[in-house]
Amino acid sequence: MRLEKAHSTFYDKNLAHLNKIKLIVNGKPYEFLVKPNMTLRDLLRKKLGLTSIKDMCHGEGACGSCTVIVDGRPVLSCLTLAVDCDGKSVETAEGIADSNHPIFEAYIKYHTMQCGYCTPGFLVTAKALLDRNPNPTEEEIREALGGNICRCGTYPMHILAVMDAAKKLKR
Amino acid sequence: MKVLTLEEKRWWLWQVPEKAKYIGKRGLPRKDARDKASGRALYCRDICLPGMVYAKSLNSPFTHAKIKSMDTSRAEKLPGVLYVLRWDDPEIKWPPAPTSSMRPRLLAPYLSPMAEFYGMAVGAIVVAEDEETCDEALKILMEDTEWEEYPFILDWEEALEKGAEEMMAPVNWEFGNVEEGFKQADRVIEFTVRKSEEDTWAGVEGGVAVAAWQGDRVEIWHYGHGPFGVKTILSQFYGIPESNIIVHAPYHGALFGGITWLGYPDALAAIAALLARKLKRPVKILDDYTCFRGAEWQLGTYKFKVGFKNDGTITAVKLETVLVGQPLPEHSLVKLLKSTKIPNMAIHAVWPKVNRPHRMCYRHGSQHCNVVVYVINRVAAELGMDPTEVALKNDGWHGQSMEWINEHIKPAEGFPKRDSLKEVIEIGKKAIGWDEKWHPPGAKRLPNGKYHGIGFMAVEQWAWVPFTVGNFPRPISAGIKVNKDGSIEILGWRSDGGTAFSTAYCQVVADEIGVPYESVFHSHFEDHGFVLWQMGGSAGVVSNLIPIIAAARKVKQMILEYATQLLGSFNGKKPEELDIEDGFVFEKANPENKVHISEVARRITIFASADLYDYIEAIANRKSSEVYKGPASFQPRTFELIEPYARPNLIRQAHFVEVEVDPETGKIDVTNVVVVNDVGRAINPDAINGQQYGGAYMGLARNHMEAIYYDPLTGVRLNDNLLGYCVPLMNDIGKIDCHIVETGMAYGPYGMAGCSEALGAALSMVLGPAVYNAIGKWIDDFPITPDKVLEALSKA
Repeated sequence: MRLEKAHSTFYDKNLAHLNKIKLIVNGKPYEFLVKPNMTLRDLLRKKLGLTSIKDMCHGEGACGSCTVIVDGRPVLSCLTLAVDCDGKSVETAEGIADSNHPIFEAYIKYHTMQCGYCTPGFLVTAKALLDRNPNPTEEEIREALGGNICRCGTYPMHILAVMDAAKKLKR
Repeated sequence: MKVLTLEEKRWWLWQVPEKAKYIGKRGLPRKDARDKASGRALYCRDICLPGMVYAKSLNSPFTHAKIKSMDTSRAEKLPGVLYVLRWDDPEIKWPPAPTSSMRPRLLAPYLSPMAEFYGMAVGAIVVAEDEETCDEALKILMEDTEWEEYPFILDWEEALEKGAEEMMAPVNWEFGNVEEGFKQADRVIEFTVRKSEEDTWAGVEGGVAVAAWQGDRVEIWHYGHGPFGVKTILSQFYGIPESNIIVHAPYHGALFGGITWLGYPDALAAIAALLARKLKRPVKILDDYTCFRGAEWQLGTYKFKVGFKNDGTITAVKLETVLVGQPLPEHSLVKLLKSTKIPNMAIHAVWPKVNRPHRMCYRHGSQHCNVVVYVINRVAAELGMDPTEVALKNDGWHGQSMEWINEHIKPAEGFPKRDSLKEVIEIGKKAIGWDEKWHPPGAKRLPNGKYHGIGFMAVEQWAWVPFTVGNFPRPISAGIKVNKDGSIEILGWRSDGGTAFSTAYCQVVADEIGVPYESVFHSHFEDHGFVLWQMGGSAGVVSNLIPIIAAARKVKQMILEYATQLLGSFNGKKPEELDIEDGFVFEKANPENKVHISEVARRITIFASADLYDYIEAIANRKSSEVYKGPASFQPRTFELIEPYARPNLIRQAHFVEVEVDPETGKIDVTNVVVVNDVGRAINPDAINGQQYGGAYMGLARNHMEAIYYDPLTGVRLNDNLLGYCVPLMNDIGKIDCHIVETGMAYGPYGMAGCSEALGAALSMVLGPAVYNAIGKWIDDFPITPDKVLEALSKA
């Protein structure tokens, strides 16, 4: 199977309309030239090949599968313009996995995935919850993850995983 | 070739290895867990090739219309547009011949000039440098297309009255003598259940295919359940040998069954290949709306007539169904026949064509399970009996009681005489507190003012076990090789359905050979020459484990034999004096004498394969009457249409739901769910729990949440997106308590069955009896939305 970064030739043709932005993505600094209407989702997927950012609802903000953390807050990257993130820090599921955060191991331990398409969006949302509330109750977990769609119905596993990660964070 | 004995082919009696460490174990990480949780798992939508361009289809704005004319010149002039493929392009040799009886007429849904439902892909496909340009070009194309509109019909009964074309020939089927059965009854009831709005799989990854040519070889990245079918289709389409067609099967997002069976993924692959050859660049075709271009197959009307005795024994069931067209020849009595001893039943089934999306099952079995739910619960309600008692009283198979099966079938097939239905019901009743909570209909109001209701259903636990060769369009086989470092690879091509099948295969192979689970891998993305069965989630483990286990046993034997020949430590020993544990070959009489299997593998190639055919040949050649040795009148007739050699499913599932119904708003809250599945033998209990949770969410949401709505005046779909279509979220269903029972009485290897389809189908109408128990009125029109509850309460 082959995976290459997308060609951006056609996108970048009208350079006059492009904006220069700086982002820190998973701890690494980047500079991009982007169209004013380019979403953060498309930027991260197409320019950096970050495949954790999924497109389930086709940009309607209905599913949570494109969630990333921007300056500590979970946002739907399909509804966020890349130019609005200039100077900000972005965290994706790839970064969380590489950082050995307890939520990643907990997600593996508790079988939080079936088809797996929505899983990174849940993982990022859960990590954002633990960042602001390291000891959430079940109700708080339900509230935080309540907007993410999992068509396979893995929901109960996520609650267990977040609670397990919270325990490890406490230690 | 060694001829296998009949006993060796009775795979349901194959025993789990004595020293098994992984089969049945909890807490094992899924093989795909790290890739999926980190987002690094590649789905077809993630594939991006150098120089790749994009393609998208025109979608009909009308419910029933034909393209009169289309001027593509303006769209073609848009910067970035590379090509517009029209339905009347002379290069299109469409459609190719169907490859499977399950895809009889829906294989070519993208390039017809005729729209049969709103949003259908029709007429043209635009290719451009990027997705945005495709969208712009399609807007222009829509303006430059002239349509001729036709009248449309959305309602199936209206279609029948007006003599609409039927999707399948009507079925008139009788088991026993239904009129005689009604004469034997003390009481006869008639009622009608309707599924008025359709639900859809709403898969999360929209349709997609990627194609690239190198010379006369084409490479495809396929989104769909059956990557192997694409080879055949493209071979027919291009007249090139299958060896020139490389198909990759990346992960796919919650595809479920239906859309693959309808042929959309294959059509996308064929179109992508055609465009890639024309443009000499890789093409990715994207279809954002495929998830709503199909629907589940239970939509329709079910008219029941049921006869029963005063003790709850059901004597006859007559069913008339008008279901919306489907391309799979099954009727709705299948599971009633397979789950009860009811001796007389008959069905008249018709499938008129309407202007709605194509439909097919996903988590197959809803229309059959719905019938079981309603027959058992309606009879119980009429008699004021506990429905669990009615279910137990009528348990059986093909008109025969469980007592008869215990005497005639279980001993002959080597099964224990456990009472699966009794076991699952007892566990479920205890877990939900049935004896304390079940009450007369409409009799319990809660302190919060809501009605409390409790409901139940039980049906067979099924698995698609391959007893006949003829059901398979291609060989089903697996290969296993031992690498030089002692790691083990299972070779078996299939797409990933999310059911942890690879994990289960690796657990089994690790135990069968005697190696660590961590050292076993399943290579399923690519075609190594071994194709595993894909047709249904529940079949994915059950049927595929037959060749996998057989190959693993051959590999183990090879390792032991070569060890005696190649390793000095075992000189003079016989293979039967050795065994393998944790990846080390050791001498049974002297376990300290051990050598890692890599020492064998680096000296000689260790590879074995097995084909399902070798294990089903004898059974396929046997007549059903020979298999069962029962009375001459007793023949397995359920699957006259598709499975003439089906065997009895002896295991059961039972499910219990509690609801609260708000009399002010009509809202139904599902507050508590207990699901119990006898799976025969659990390979991976964590994965089974996952299917139980997932099936419960999907099945319950079909009752009262998921529905596609149409404007009756225009036929336009009003909510074909994830904002408007209610896929259940985490907090839409209350607590779900999962239980697994293992009686070993299923026909899969080790006596196992599948679980991935079971609950989504079984629970599709279980809220009917639960809401009846709450408010004392039957609401037989699904989905049970608040307006229907309020209407029922106002009549109460």
